[in-house]
Amino acid sequence: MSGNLIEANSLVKEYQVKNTEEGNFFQRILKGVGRHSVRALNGISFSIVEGEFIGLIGNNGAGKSTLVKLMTGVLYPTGGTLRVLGRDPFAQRNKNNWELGVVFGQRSQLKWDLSAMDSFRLLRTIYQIDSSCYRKNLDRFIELFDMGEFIGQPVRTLSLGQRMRCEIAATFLHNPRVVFLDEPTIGLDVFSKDAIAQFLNVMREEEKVTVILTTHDLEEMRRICDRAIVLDRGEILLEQKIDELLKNYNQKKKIIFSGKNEEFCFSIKSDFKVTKKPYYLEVDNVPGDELPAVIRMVVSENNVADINIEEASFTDVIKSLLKEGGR
Amino acid sequence: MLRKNIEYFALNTWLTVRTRSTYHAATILKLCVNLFVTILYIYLWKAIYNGREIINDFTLPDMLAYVFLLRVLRNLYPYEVSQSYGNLIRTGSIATMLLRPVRIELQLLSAAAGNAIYDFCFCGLPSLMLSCFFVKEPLNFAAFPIVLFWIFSSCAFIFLLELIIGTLSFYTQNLWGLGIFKGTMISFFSGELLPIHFYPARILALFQWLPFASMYYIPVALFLEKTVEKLGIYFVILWGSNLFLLLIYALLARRMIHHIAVQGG
Repeated sequence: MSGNLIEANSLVKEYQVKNTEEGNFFQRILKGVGRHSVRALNGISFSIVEGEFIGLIGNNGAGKSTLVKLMTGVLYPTGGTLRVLGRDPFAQRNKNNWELGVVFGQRSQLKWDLSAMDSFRLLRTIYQIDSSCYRKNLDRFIELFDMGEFIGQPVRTLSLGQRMRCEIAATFLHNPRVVFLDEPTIGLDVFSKDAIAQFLNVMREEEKVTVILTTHDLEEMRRICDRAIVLDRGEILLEQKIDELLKNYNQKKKIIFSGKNEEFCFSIKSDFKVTKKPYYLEVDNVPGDELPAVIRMVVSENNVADINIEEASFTDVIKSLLKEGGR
Repeated sequence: MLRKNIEYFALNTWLTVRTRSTYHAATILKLCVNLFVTILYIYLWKAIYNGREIINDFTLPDMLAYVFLLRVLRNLYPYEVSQSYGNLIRTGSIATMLLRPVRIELQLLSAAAGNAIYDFCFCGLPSLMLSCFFVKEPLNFAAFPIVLFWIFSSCAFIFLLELIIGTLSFYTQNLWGLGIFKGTMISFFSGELLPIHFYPARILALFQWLPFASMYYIPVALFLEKTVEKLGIYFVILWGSNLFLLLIYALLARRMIHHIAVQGG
């Protein structure tokens, strides 16, 4: 297993898709339609070690969900190799299932017409969780997620945020070694997102769990994950620790001046991106070592009341990454 | 592992019963429809007999008892499994079921058992109670153990058939046509539409080589103390079919797992 919990080498996944536009209605009924293959993952390689929190980033159709389904063993790869917990996840799905937890944000593992508590009881039986461990985990999750009030209500009466808290609690109930969270915060309000982020950070500190998170909310990913794998059209665009990623991309900053001049005077000739508005000056793309000189010059030539230095947000970094990828 | 599976089966069966019981209006409607259809059958057969005492070895009380027992049995058989399986595939929810360390067949079987218990309580039992007003002769309860065994064997047959049909939705994505075909075949060959000895002798000879008669005709006939010729052949055919379906399902399921695409995201 070479210390890696998950290891992918030249992983390929192709889907066979029907040509629904082929022929007319009767030809489609009588002759059927042809198929063509669509490559969702194009020979990607990566590895994940125990305890890591990985963020899978990419636009819709980048291959994130396909990758999660391959790692959970729901789908089989068309090419390459994949090992999860030292096993082939497709061939040995039943063995791996004992040690995995999965949340698909758009599907539910809870019984819709019954309470979340009933689903937890069923999961306890499925995973043969001993009663002390079950009680301990349940009490802890109820407290962390503040679920006490709604845990006994039918799942269909819960808000999306409440349901997702129950889904995530259900996923962690059997102390899984690897947890896949596929867009768990889709459509949630800031409070629910915050609760989930806090919960995951507690899990990181107290458990040896490894989490693979896919989400379109990049700031949330920054709060939760250690490392990002950026996928684009089935290929890995970048694989880096999130702190390093931000550091590398934040070498250039944005300075915002506001003051009493209706029009700011700015005389430096450079590649800076300058935006002028009444009583406002924005200088973007300034390298860190030129910051003092730029500030000194603007302050000496203008009546400056306030200065703000901004770094690019994680979202901006990923956006520029995906743009730079030429996609 | 066996203990875990038994515990899971019992709990999921109970949770399915509780799930069904949350829809009170649907339950009352189903109960009413079932009683309405039963009464409709009773008056249909009364009209058919129209003063005649016996038709094809069945007296009118026999026929009425046949109708009532048929309604009870209909609610015991797991006809909904293929539809549930198909929906799981169509919506992609199959993914969450495949990720549990419990066989998908056991998940479907326990849900089917829950549905059977619920339908028996809210449709089968009321039909039986209604029968007290129409059927005066007592049923042959001495045959109960063998009838029970026959019903259990038929449940296994229907469950395996439903699994196979459900599995086919991995290829077809839709079970509408297959569902109608299955329903028609079962109604015709099982004695659900008409007791099978009402058919001409040549067709009857064909029925003997099919497992469907064991679903309705044989258990009801045993309950009514009717002579069933070549009972042993029916038994062998039924269990032979069960083994054959099990083999087919095992082969299909192995292939099917490679066809999963898990729709949408």
